[in-house]
Amino acid sequence: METRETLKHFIVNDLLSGRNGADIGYDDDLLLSGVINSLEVVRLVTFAEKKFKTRIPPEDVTIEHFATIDTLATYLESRAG
Amino acid sequence: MEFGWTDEQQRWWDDVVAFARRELNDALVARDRDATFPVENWKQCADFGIQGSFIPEAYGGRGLDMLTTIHLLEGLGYGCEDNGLTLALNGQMWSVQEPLLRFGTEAQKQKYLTGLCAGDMFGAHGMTEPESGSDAYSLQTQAERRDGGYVLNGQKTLVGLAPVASIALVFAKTNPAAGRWGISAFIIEAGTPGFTVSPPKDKMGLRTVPLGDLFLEDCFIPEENRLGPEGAGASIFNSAMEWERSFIFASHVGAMARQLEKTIAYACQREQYGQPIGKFQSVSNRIANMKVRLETARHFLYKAAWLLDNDQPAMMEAAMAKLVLSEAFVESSLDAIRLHGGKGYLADCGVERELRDAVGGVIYSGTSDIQRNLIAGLLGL
Ligand SMILES: Cc1cc2nc3c(=O)[nH]c(=O)nc-3n(C[C@H](O)[C@H](O)[C@H](O)COP(=O)(O)OP(=O)(O)OC[C@H]3O[C@@H](n4cnc5c(N)ncnc54)[C@H](O)[C@@H]3O)c2cc1C
Repeated sequence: METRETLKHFIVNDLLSGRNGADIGYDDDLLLSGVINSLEVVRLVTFAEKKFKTRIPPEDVTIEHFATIDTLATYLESRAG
Repeated sequence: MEFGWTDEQQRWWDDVVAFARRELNDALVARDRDATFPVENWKQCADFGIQGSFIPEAYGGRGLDMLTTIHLLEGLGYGCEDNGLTLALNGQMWSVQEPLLRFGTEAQKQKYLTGLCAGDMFGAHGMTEPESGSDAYSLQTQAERRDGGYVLNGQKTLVGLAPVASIALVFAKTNPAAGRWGISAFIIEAGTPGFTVSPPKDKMGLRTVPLGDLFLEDCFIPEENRLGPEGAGASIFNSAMEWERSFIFASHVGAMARQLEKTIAYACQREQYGQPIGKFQSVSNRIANMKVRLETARHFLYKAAWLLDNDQPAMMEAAMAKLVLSEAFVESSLDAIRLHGGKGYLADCGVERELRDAVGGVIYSGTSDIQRNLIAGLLGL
Protein backbone atom coordinates (compact mmCIF):
# COMPACT_ATOMS: atom_id res chain seq x y z
CA MET A 1 0.00 0.00 0.00
CA GLU A 2 2.93 2.28 0.72
CA THR A 3 3.92 2.63 -2.95
CA ARG A 4 0.36 3.62 -3.86
CA GLU A 5 0.16 6.22 -1.11
CA THR A 6 3.53 7.71 -2.06
CA LEU A 7 2.50 7.97 -5.71
CA LYS A 8 -0.89 9.44 -4.86
CA HIS A 9 0.67 11.99 -2.55
CA PHE A 10 3.05 13.15 -5.28
CA ILE A 11 0.37 13.25 -7.99
CA VAL A 12 -2.18 15.14 -5.88
CA ASN A 13 0.15 17.55 -4.11
CA ASP A 14 3.02 18.13 -6.53
CA LEU A 15 1.82 17.35 -10.04
CA LEU A 16 -1.70 18.66 -9.70
CA SER A 17 -1.11 21.06 -6.79
CA GLY A 18 -4.57 20.20 -5.53
CA ARG A 19 -6.09 20.72 -9.02
CA ASN A 20 -8.24 17.58 -8.97
CA GLY A 21 -8.67 17.47 -5.22
CA ALA A 22 -7.81 14.52 -3.07
CA ASP A 23 -10.36 12.28 -4.71
CA ILE A 24 -8.11 10.44 -7.15
CA GLY A 25 -8.68 6.75 -6.53
CA TYR A 26 -5.99 4.12 -6.93
CA ASP A 27 -7.78 2.70 -9.95
CA ASP A 28 -8.90 6.00 -11.49
CA ASP A 29 -7.63 6.53 -15.02
CA LEU A 30 -4.81 9.09 -15.11
CA LEU A 31 -3.97 9.31 -18.80
CA LEU A 32 -6.94 8.99 -21.13
CA SER A 33 -9.09 11.27 -18.98
CA GLY A 34 -6.29 13.84 -19.12
CA VAL A 35 -5.81 14.04 -15.35
CA ILE A 36 -2.07 14.34 -15.97
CA ASN A 37 -0.52 15.58 -19.19
CA SER A 38 2.54 14.25 -21.02
CA LEU A 39 5.06 16.50 -19.27
CA GLU A 40 3.54 15.58 -15.94
CA VAL A 41 4.15 11.95 -16.89
CA VAL A 42 7.82 12.84 -17.40
CA ARG A 43 7.90 14.45 -13.95
CA LEU A 44 6.17 11.39 -12.49
CA VAL A 45 8.83 9.13 -14.05
CA THR A 46 11.63 11.28 -12.62
CA PHE A 47 9.99 11.24 -9.18
CA ALA A 48 9.39 7.48 -9.21
CA GLU A 49 12.95 6.76 -10.37
CA LYS A 50 14.39 8.81 -7.52
CA LYS A 51 11.97 7.71 -4.82
CA PHE A 52 12.06 3.99 -5.62
CA LYS A 53 15.70 3.95 -6.73
CA THR A 54 14.97 2.35 -10.05
CA ARG A 55 15.33 3.17 -13.75
CA ILE A 56 12.17 3.25 -15.86
CA PRO A 57 13.18 2.70 -19.48
CA PRO A 58 11.21 4.79 -22.01
CA GLU A 59 9.70 1.68 -23.61
CA ASP A 60 8.03 0.90 -20.28
CA VAL A 61 6.29 4.28 -20.17
CA THR A 62 3.09 2.89 -21.66
CA ILE A 63 -0.59 2.99 -20.83
CA GLU A 64 -0.23 -0.56 -19.52
CA HIS A 65 1.99 0.63 -16.66
CA PHE A 66 0.88 4.25 -16.21
CA ALA A 67 -2.93 4.02 -16.59
CA THR A 68 -3.67 4.21 -12.86
CA ILE A 69 -1.85 4.53 -9.55
CA ASP A 70 -2.52 0.81 -9.08
CA THR A 71 -0.92 -0.28 -12.36
CA LEU A 72 2.09 1.97 -11.79
CA ALA A 73 2.57 0.69 -8.25
CA THR A 74 2.35 -2.90 -9.45
CA TYR A 75 4.93 -2.15 -12.14
CA LEU A 76 7.29 -0.45 -9.69
CA GLU A 77 6.93 -3.26 -7.15
CA SER A 78 7.68 -5.84 -9.84
CA ARG A 79 10.91 -3.98 -10.64
CA ALA A 80 11.89 -3.82 -6.99
CA GLY A 81 11.32 -7.58 -6.65
CA MET B 1 34.15 18.43 -13.20
CA GLU B 2 36.59 18.23 -16.10
CA PHE B 3 36.83 20.99 -18.71
CA GLY B 4 39.66 19.67 -20.86
CA TRP B 5 39.83 17.15 -23.69
CA THR B 6 41.99 14.04 -23.53
CA ASP B 7 44.76 13.49 -26.06
CA GLU B 8 42.62 10.89 -27.81
CA GLN B 9 39.64 13.27 -28.05
CA GLN B 10 41.93 15.98 -29.38
CA ARG B 11 43.28 13.55 -31.99
CA TRP B 12 39.73 12.82 -33.19
CA TRP B 13 39.16 16.58 -33.52
CA ASP B 14 42.36 17.18 -35.47
CA ASP B 15 41.74 14.21 -37.76
CA VAL B 16 38.13 15.05 -38.49
CA VAL B 17 38.88 18.72 -39.19
CA ALA B 18 41.62 17.75 -41.64
CA PHE B 19 39.38 15.10 -43.25
CA ALA B 20 36.42 17.48 -43.60
CA ARG B 21 38.50 20.31 -45.08
CA ARG B 22 40.12 17.93 -47.54
CA GLU B 23 37.07 15.95 -48.67
CA LEU B 24 33.76 17.63 -47.90
CA ASN B 25 33.83 21.22 -49.16
CA ASP B 26 34.12 20.58 -52.90
CA ALA B 27 31.96 22.79 -55.17
CA LEU B 28 29.76 23.77 -52.25
CA VAL B 29 28.38 26.98 -53.74
CA ALA B 30 27.22 25.06 -56.82
CA ARG B 31 25.89 22.12 -54.80
CA ASP B 32 23.92 24.52 -52.62
CA ARG B 33 22.54 26.34 -55.66
CA ASP B 34 21.61 23.09 -57.44
CA ALA B 35 20.48 21.29 -54.27
CA THR B 36 22.80 18.32 -54.88
CA PHE B 37 23.12 15.70 -52.19
CA PRO B 38 26.78 14.58 -51.95
CA VAL B 39 26.36 10.80 -51.80
CA GLU B 40 30.10 10.24 -52.20
CA ASN B 41 30.83 12.51 -49.22
CA TRP B 42 28.27 10.61 -47.15
CA LYS B 43 30.12 7.40 -47.89
CA GLN B 44 33.46 9.01 -47.03
CA CYS B 45 32.04 10.15 -43.68
CA ALA B 46 31.04 6.56 -42.97
CA ASP B 47 34.53 5.32 -43.86
CA PHE B 48 35.96 7.90 -41.48
CA GLY B 49 33.64 6.63 -38.74
CA ILE B 50 31.15 9.48 -38.35
CA GLN B 51 27.86 7.54 -38.60
CA GLY B 52 29.24 4.72 -36.46
CA SER B 53 30.97 6.94 -33.89
CA PHE B 54 28.80 6.11 -30.84
CA ILE B 55 27.53 2.75 -32.10
CA PRO B 56 29.15 -0.34 -30.52
CA GLU B 57 31.69 -2.20 -32.61
CA ALA B 58 29.37 -5.24 -32.71
CA TYR B 59 27.12 -3.26 -35.08
CA GLY B 60 29.85 -1.74 -37.19
CA GLY B 61 30.54 1.35 -35.09
CA ARG B 62 33.50 2.81 -33.19
CA GLY B 63 31.98 2.56 -29.71
CA LEU B 64 32.97 6.10 -28.68
CA ASP B 65 31.53 7.69 -25.53
CA MET B 66 29.15 10.59 -25.92
CA LEU B 67 31.54 13.44 -25.13
CA THR B 68 34.09 12.14 -27.62
CA THR B 69 31.32 11.73 -30.20
CA ILE B 70 30.14 15.28 -29.62
CA HIS B 71 33.68 16.62 -29.91
CA LEU B 72 34.08 14.68 -33.15
CA LEU B 73 30.82 16.07 -34.55
CA GLU B 74 31.73 19.60 -33.49
CA GLY B 75 35.05 19.17 -35.30
CA LEU B 76 33.17 17.89 -38.34
CA GLY B 77 31.06 21.08 -38.41
CA TYR B 78 34.19 23.19 -37.95
CA GLY B 79 35.92 21.61 -40.93
CA CYS B 80 32.90 20.92 -43.15
CA GLU B 81 31.11 23.96 -44.54
CA ASP B 82 28.28 21.85 -45.90
CA ASN B 83 25.73 22.28 -43.10
CA GLY B 84 23.17 20.26 -45.05
CA LEU B 85 25.44 17.22 -45.01
CA THR B 86 26.22 17.57 -41.31
CA LEU B 87 22.51 17.97 -40.50
CA ALA B 88 21.67 14.86 -42.51
CA LEU B 89 24.37 12.87 -40.71
CA ASN B 90 23.26 14.10 -37.30
CA GLY B 91 19.58 13.54 -38.13
CA GLN B 92 20.19 9.91 -39.04
CA MET B 93 22.50 9.33 -36.08
CA TRP B 94 20.23 10.74 -33.38
CA SER B 95 16.73 10.10 -34.65
CA VAL B 96 17.23 6.74 -36.38
CA GLN B 97 20.40 4.98 -35.22
CA GLU B 98 20.08 5.92 -31.55
CA PRO B 99 16.47 4.67 -31.18
CA LEU B 100 17.41 1.51 -33.09
CA LEU B 101 20.31 0.93 -30.71
CA ARG B 102 18.22 1.64 -27.62
CA PHE B 103 14.93 -0.04 -28.50
CA GLY B 104 15.78 -2.44 -31.34
CA THR B 105 15.86 -6.22 -31.12
CA GLU B 106 19.20 -7.89 -31.70
CA ALA B 107 18.05 -8.83 -35.22
CA GLN B 108 17.00 -5.23 -36.00
CA LYS B 109 20.32 -3.86 -34.78
CA GLN B 110 22.31 -6.37 -36.82
CA LYS B 111 20.22 -5.78 -39.90
CA TYR B 112 20.06 -1.98 -39.95
CA LEU B 113 22.78 -0.45 -37.80
CA THR B 114 25.57 -2.14 -39.71
CA GLY B 115 24.38 -0.73 -43.04
CA LEU B 116 23.75 2.73 -41.57
CA CYS B 117 27.22 2.87 -40.02
CA ALA B 118 28.83 1.70 -43.27
CA GLY B 119 27.15 4.50 -45.22
CA ASP B 120 25.37 1.96 -47.44
CA MET B 121 21.96 3.04 -46.12
CA PHE B 122 20.13 6.30 -45.51
CA GLY B 123 17.82 6.42 -42.50
CA ALA B 124 14.85 8.81 -42.28
CA HIS B 125 12.68 9.67 -39.28
CA GLY B 126 9.03 10.26 -40.10
CA MET B 127 6.87 11.90 -37.48
CA THR B 128 5.57 15.19 -38.95
CA GLU B 129 2.38 15.02 -41.03
CA PRO B 130 0.51 17.61 -43.08
CA GLU B 131 -1.92 18.17 -40.19
CA SER B 132 0.38 17.52 -37.23
CA GLY B 133 3.68 19.30 -36.58
CA SER B 134 4.25 20.74 -33.13
CA ASP B 135 1.25 18.75 -31.91
CA ALA B 136 3.03 15.60 -33.08
CA TYR B 137 0.83 13.11 -31.23
CA SER B 138 -2.28 14.20 -33.09
CA LEU B 139 -0.90 12.26 -36.06
CA GLN B 140 -3.29 10.52 -38.45
CA THR B 141 -1.17 7.67 -39.84
CA GLN B 142 -2.79 4.39 -38.83
CA ALA B 143 -1.36 0.92 -38.37
CA GLU B 144 -4.06 -1.74 -38.32
CA ARG B 145 -3.28 -5.16 -36.93
CA ARG B 146 -3.26 -8.01 -39.45
CA ASP B 147 -1.99 -11.57 -39.29
CA GLY B 148 1.75 -11.37 -38.63
CA GLY B 149 1.98 -7.60 -38.74
CA TYR B 150 0.27 -4.29 -39.49
CA VAL B 151 -1.12 -2.42 -42.48
CA LEU B 152 -0.03 1.22 -42.52
CA ASN B 153 -1.80 4.13 -44.19
CA GLY B 154 -0.79 7.77 -44.00
CA GLN B 155 1.67 10.45 -45.04
CA LYS B 156 4.73 11.97 -43.40
CA THR B 157 6.07 15.31 -44.52
CA LEU B 158 9.21 17.50 -44.21
CA VAL B 159 11.28 14.37 -43.59
CA GLY B 160 15.06 14.68 -43.94
CA LEU B 161 16.59 12.10 -46.33
CA ALA B 162 13.07 10.89 -47.30
CA PRO B 163 13.72 11.00 -51.06
CA VAL B 164 16.74 8.66 -50.72
CA ALA B 165 15.65 6.69 -47.65
CA SER B 166 16.71 3.05 -47.43
CA ILE B 167 14.73 2.74 -44.21
CA ALA B 168 12.31 5.04 -42.43
CA LEU B 169 11.39 5.03 -38.77
CA VAL B 170 7.71 5.90 -38.84
CA PHE B 171 5.19 6.56 -36.07
CA ALA B 172 1.56 5.44 -36.44
CA LYS B 173 -1.56 4.92 -34.36
CA THR B 174 -2.13 1.30 -33.38
CA ASN B 175 -4.88 2.15 -30.89
CA PRO B 176 -6.58 5.41 -31.96
CA ALA B 177 -8.81 5.49 -28.86
CA ALA B 178 -5.74 5.78 -26.61
CA GLY B 179 -4.42 9.00 -28.20
CA ARG B 180 -0.69 9.47 -27.62
CA TRP B 181 -0.64 6.22 -25.65
CA GLY B 182 -1.77 4.27 -28.67
CA ILE B 183 1.13 5.15 -30.98
CA SER B 184 3.75 2.62 -32.12
CA ALA B 185 7.02 2.89 -34.05
CA PHE B 186 7.81 0.93 -37.22
CA ILE B 187 10.84 0.42 -39.42
CA ILE B 188 9.86 0.60 -43.09
CA GLU B 189 12.27 -0.63 -45.74
CA ALA B 190 12.54 0.95 -49.19
CA GLY B 191 10.92 -1.31 -51.75
CA THR B 192 8.14 -2.45 -49.42
CA PRO B 193 4.92 -2.52 -51.49
CA GLY B 194 2.78 0.51 -50.64
CA PHE B 195 5.76 2.62 -49.48
CA THR B 196 6.79 5.50 -51.75
CA VAL B 197 8.68 8.77 -51.36
CA SER B 198 8.36 12.21 -52.95
CA PRO B 199 11.08 13.95 -54.95
CA PRO B 200 13.16 16.43 -52.90
CA LYS B 201 11.36 19.69 -52.01
CA ASP B 202 12.99 22.99 -52.88
CA LYS B 203 13.88 24.92 -49.75
CA MET B 204 15.54 27.97 -48.21
CA GLY B 205 18.67 26.45 -46.69
CA LEU B 206 20.32 23.10 -45.93
CA ARG B 207 19.86 22.63 -49.64
CA THR B 208 22.34 19.77 -49.96
CA VAL B 209 20.18 17.44 -47.85
CA PRO B 210 17.08 16.15 -49.64
CA LEU B 211 13.84 16.63 -47.71
CA GLY B 212 10.47 15.22 -48.70
CA ASP B 213 7.40 13.13 -47.99
CA LEU B 214 6.82 9.47 -47.17
CA PHE B 215 3.61 7.84 -48.40
CA LEU B 216 2.11 4.67 -46.94
CA GLU B 217 -0.76 3.05 -48.81
CA ASP B 218 -1.95 -0.31 -47.54
CA CYS B 219 1.66 -0.97 -46.69
CA PHE B 220 2.11 -4.28 -44.86
CA ILE B 221 4.82 -4.23 -42.21
CA PRO B 222 5.69 -7.49 -40.46
CA GLU B 223 5.55 -7.58 -36.68
CA GLU B 224 9.34 -7.98 -36.45
CA ASN B 225 9.64 -4.46 -37.91
CA ARG B 226 7.86 -2.82 -35.01
CA LEU B 227 10.38 -0.94 -32.88
CA GLY B 228 9.73 -1.48 -29.16
CA PRO B 229 6.45 -2.61 -27.64
CA GLU B 230 3.09 -1.71 -29.14
CA GLY B 231 1.92 1.58 -27.62
CA ALA B 232 5.45 2.72 -26.72
CA GLY B 233 5.76 4.95 -29.82
CA ALA B 234 5.30 8.25 -27.99
CA SER B 235 7.86 7.30 -25.35
CA ILE B 236 10.31 6.17 -28.02
CA PHE B 237 9.76 9.44 -29.89
CA ASN B 238 10.26 11.45 -26.69
CA SER B 239 13.46 9.62 -25.94
CA ALA B 240 14.69 10.07 -29.52
CA MET B 241 13.92 13.79 -29.30
CA GLU B 242 15.87 14.04 -26.05
CA TRP B 243 18.93 12.73 -27.90
CA GLU B 244 18.27 14.63 -31.10
CA ARG B 245 17.69 17.97 -29.38
CA SER B 246 20.80 17.49 -27.30
CA PHE B 247 23.15 16.69 -30.16
CA ILE B 248 21.77 17.55 -33.58
CA PHE B 249 23.44 20.95 -33.27
CA ALA B 250 26.87 19.60 -32.32
CA SER B 251 28.16 20.21 -35.83
CA HIS B 252 26.48 23.61 -36.01
CA VAL B 253 28.47 24.61 -32.92
CA GLY B 254 31.59 23.76 -34.92
CA ALA B 255 30.16 25.84 -37.78
CA MET B 256 29.73 28.78 -35.39
CA ALA B 257 33.38 28.49 -34.35
CA ARG B 258 34.44 28.51 -38.01
CA GLN B 259 32.11 31.45 -38.71
CA LEU B 260 33.60 33.40 -35.79
CA GLU B 261 37.18 32.87 -36.99
CA LYS B 262 36.29 33.90 -40.50
CA THR B 263 34.55 37.01 -39.19
CA ILE B 264 37.48 38.00 -36.95
CA ALA B 265 39.88 37.57 -39.87
CA TYR B 266 37.70 39.79 -42.04
CA ALA B 267 37.34 42.42 -39.30
CA CYS B 268 41.15 42.59 -39.00
CA GLN B 269 41.79 42.70 -42.73
CA ARG B 270 39.03 44.99 -44.05
CA GLU B 271 39.87 48.66 -43.66
CA GLN B 272 37.53 51.64 -43.70
CA TYR B 273 38.26 55.20 -42.58
CA GLY B 274 41.95 54.22 -42.53
CA GLN B 275 41.73 51.42 -40.00
CA PRO B 276 40.57 47.80 -39.70
CA ILE B 277 36.80 47.68 -39.14
CA GLY B 278 37.42 45.53 -36.02
CA LYS B 279 38.70 48.69 -34.32
CA PHE B 280 35.18 50.16 -34.42
CA GLN B 281 33.45 49.30 -31.21
CA SER B 282 30.10 48.48 -32.78
CA VAL B 283 31.90 45.89 -34.94
CA SER B 284 33.99 44.40 -32.13
CA ASN B 285 30.98 44.26 -29.80
CA ARG B 286 29.20 42.17 -32.37
CA ILE B 287 32.15 39.78 -32.49
CA ALA B 288 32.23 39.62 -28.68
CA ASN B 289 28.54 38.66 -28.74
CA MET B 290 29.28 35.91 -31.27
CA LYS B 291 32.00 34.54 -29.00
CA VAL B 292 29.70 34.55 -25.95
CA ARG B 293 26.97 32.79 -27.94
CA LEU B 294 29.44 30.15 -29.12
CA GLU B 295 30.73 29.39 -25.63
CA THR B 296 27.20 29.35 -24.18
CA ALA B 297 26.14 26.91 -26.87
CA ARG B 298 29.16 24.69 -26.12
CA HIS B 299 28.35 24.52 -22.41
CA PHE B 300 24.76 23.45 -23.07
CA LEU B 301 25.94 20.86 -25.58
CA TYR B 302 28.59 19.32 -23.32
CA LYS B 303 26.29 19.28 -20.29
CA ALA B 304 23.63 17.35 -22.22
CA ALA B 305 26.29 14.93 -23.51
CA TRP B 306 27.61 14.35 -20.02
CA LEU B 307 24.12 13.71 -18.61
CA LEU B 308 23.14 11.24 -21.31
CA ASP B 309 26.53 9.51 -21.12
CA ASN B 310 25.85 9.02 -17.42
CA ASP B 311 22.38 7.64 -18.08
CA GLN B 312 20.69 10.59 -16.41
CA PRO B 313 17.45 12.24 -17.56
CA ALA B 314 18.13 15.25 -19.77
CA MET B 315 14.78 16.33 -21.18
CA MET B 316 15.05 19.83 -19.72
CA GLU B 317 18.72 20.18 -20.70
CA ALA B 318 17.94 18.90 -24.21
CA ALA B 319 15.21 21.49 -24.66
CA MET B 320 17.46 24.26 -23.35
CA ALA B 321 20.37 23.14 -25.53
CA LYS B 322 18.20 23.02 -28.63
CA LEU B 323 16.71 26.45 -27.92
CA VAL B 324 20.02 28.15 -27.13
CA LEU B 325 22.05 26.54 -29.94
CA SER B 326 19.54 27.06 -32.72
CA GLU B 327 18.80 30.69 -31.85
CA ALA B 328 22.52 31.41 -31.36
CA PHE B 329 23.34 30.06 -34.83
CA VAL B 330 20.75 32.35 -36.44
CA GLU B 331 21.87 35.43 -34.48
CA SER B 332 25.55 34.86 -35.16
CA SER B 333 24.95 34.13 -38.84
CA LEU B 334 23.14 37.44 -39.14
CA ASP B 335 25.98 39.20 -37.32
CA ALA B 336 28.51 37.57 -39.66
CA ILE B 337 26.64 38.94 -42.68
CA ARG B 338 26.34 42.44 -41.20
CA LEU B 339 30.05 42.39 -40.51
CA HIS B 340 31.01 41.28 -44.01
CA GLY B 341 28.95 44.13 -45.46
CA GLY B 342 27.77 43.77 -49.07
CA LYS B 343 30.26 40.97 -49.73
CA GLY B 344 28.53 38.88 -47.07
CA TYR B 345 25.33 39.11 -49.05
CA LEU B 346 26.88 37.38 -52.06
CA ALA B 347 26.72 33.60 -52.43
CA ASP B 348 30.45 33.15 -53.10
CA CYS B 349 31.36 34.47 -49.66
CA GLY B 350 29.49 31.64 -47.92
CA VAL B 351 28.22 33.57 -44.92
CA GLU B 352 24.76 34.14 -46.42
CA ARG B 353 24.42 30.37 -46.92
CA GLU B 354 25.13 29.87 -43.24
CA LEU B 355 22.18 32.12 -42.32
CA ARG B 356 19.83 30.24 -44.65
CA ASP B 357 21.07 26.97 -43.14
CA ALA B 358 20.64 28.25 -39.59
CA VAL B 359 16.98 29.25 -39.90
CA GLY B 360 15.79 25.63 -40.24
CA GLY B 361 17.24 24.96 -36.81
CA VAL B 362 14.63 27.03 -34.99
CA ILE B 363 11.95 24.81 -36.57
CA TYR B 364 13.09 21.16 -36.75
CA SER B 365 13.18 18.93 -33.65
CA GLY B 366 10.46 21.17 -32.21
CA THR B 367 10.29 24.94 -32.70
CA SER B 368 11.76 27.39 -30.21
CA ASP B 369 8.22 28.04 -28.90
CA ILE B 370 7.81 24.33 -28.21
CA GLN B 371 11.18 24.14 -26.40
CA ARG B 372 10.04 27.00 -24.15
CA ASN B 373 6.74 25.18 -23.53
CA LEU B 374 8.70 22.05 -22.58
CA ILE B 375 10.97 23.93 -20.20
CA ALA B 376 8.01 25.70 -18.59
CA GLY B 377 6.04 22.45 -18.33
CA LEU B 378 8.94 20.65 -16.67
CA LEU B 379 9.19 23.54 -14.21
CA GLY B 380 5.62 22.74 -13.24
CA LEU B 381 3.94 25.63 -15.06
C1 LIG C 1 14.86 21.58 -42.15
C2 LIG C 1 13.79 20.77 -41.52
C3 LIG C 1 13.99 19.41 -41.31
C4 LIG C 1 12.97 18.63 -40.77
N1 LIG C 1 13.17 17.28 -40.63
C5 LIG C 1 12.16 16.50 -40.16
C6 LIG C 1 12.33 15.08 -40.11
O1 LIG C 1 13.39 14.54 -40.46
N2 LIG C 1 11.30 14.34 -39.66
C7 LIG C 1 10.11 14.89 -39.26
O2 LIG C 1 9.22 14.15 -38.87
N3 LIG C 1 9.91 16.24 -39.32
C8 LIG C 1 10.91 17.04 -39.76
N4 LIG C 1 10.73 18.41 -39.85
C9 LIG C 1 9.45 18.98 -39.47
C10 LIG C 1 9.49 19.76 -38.16
O3 LIG C 1 9.70 18.88 -37.08
C11 LIG C 1 8.21 20.57 -38.03
O4 LIG C 1 8.21 21.51 -39.08
C12 LIG C 1 8.10 21.28 -36.69
O5 LIG C 1 7.90 20.35 -35.65
C13 LIG C 1 6.97 22.31 -36.68
O6 LIG C 1 5.78 21.78 -37.14
P1 LIG C 1 4.93 22.55 -38.28
O7 LIG C 1 5.86 22.84 -39.40
O8 LIG C 1 3.72 21.76 -38.59
O9 LIG C 1 4.54 23.92 -37.62
P2 LIG C 1 3.29 24.19 -36.65
O10 LIG C 1 3.24 23.18 -35.58
O11 LIG C 1 2.07 24.39 -37.48
O12 LIG C 1 3.71 25.58 -36.00
C14 LIG C 1 3.54 26.84 -36.64
C15 LIG C 1 3.90 27.93 -35.65
O13 LIG C 1 3.04 27.86 -34.49
C16 LIG C 1 3.81 27.74 -33.30
N5 LIG C 1 3.13 26.86 -32.35
C17 LIG C 1 2.48 25.69 -32.60
N6 LIG C 1 2.01 25.17 -31.47
C18 LIG C 1 2.38 26.00 -30.47
C19 LIG C 1 2.21 26.00 -29.06
N7 LIG C 1 1.56 25.01 -28.42
N8 LIG C 1 2.74 27.02 -28.34
C20 LIG C 1 3.42 28.03 -28.96
N9 LIG C 1 3.61 28.08 -30.29
C21 LIG C 1 3.10 27.08 -31.03
C22 LIG C 1 5.13 27.14 -33.76
O14 LIG C 1 6.18 27.42 -32.85
C23 LIG C 1 5.33 27.80 -35.11
O15 LIG C 1 5.87 29.08 -34.91
C24 LIG C 1 11.73 19.23 -40.39
C25 LIG C 1 11.54 20.60 -40.58
C26 LIG C 1 12.55 21.36 -41.14
C27 LIG C 1 12.31 22.83 -41.35
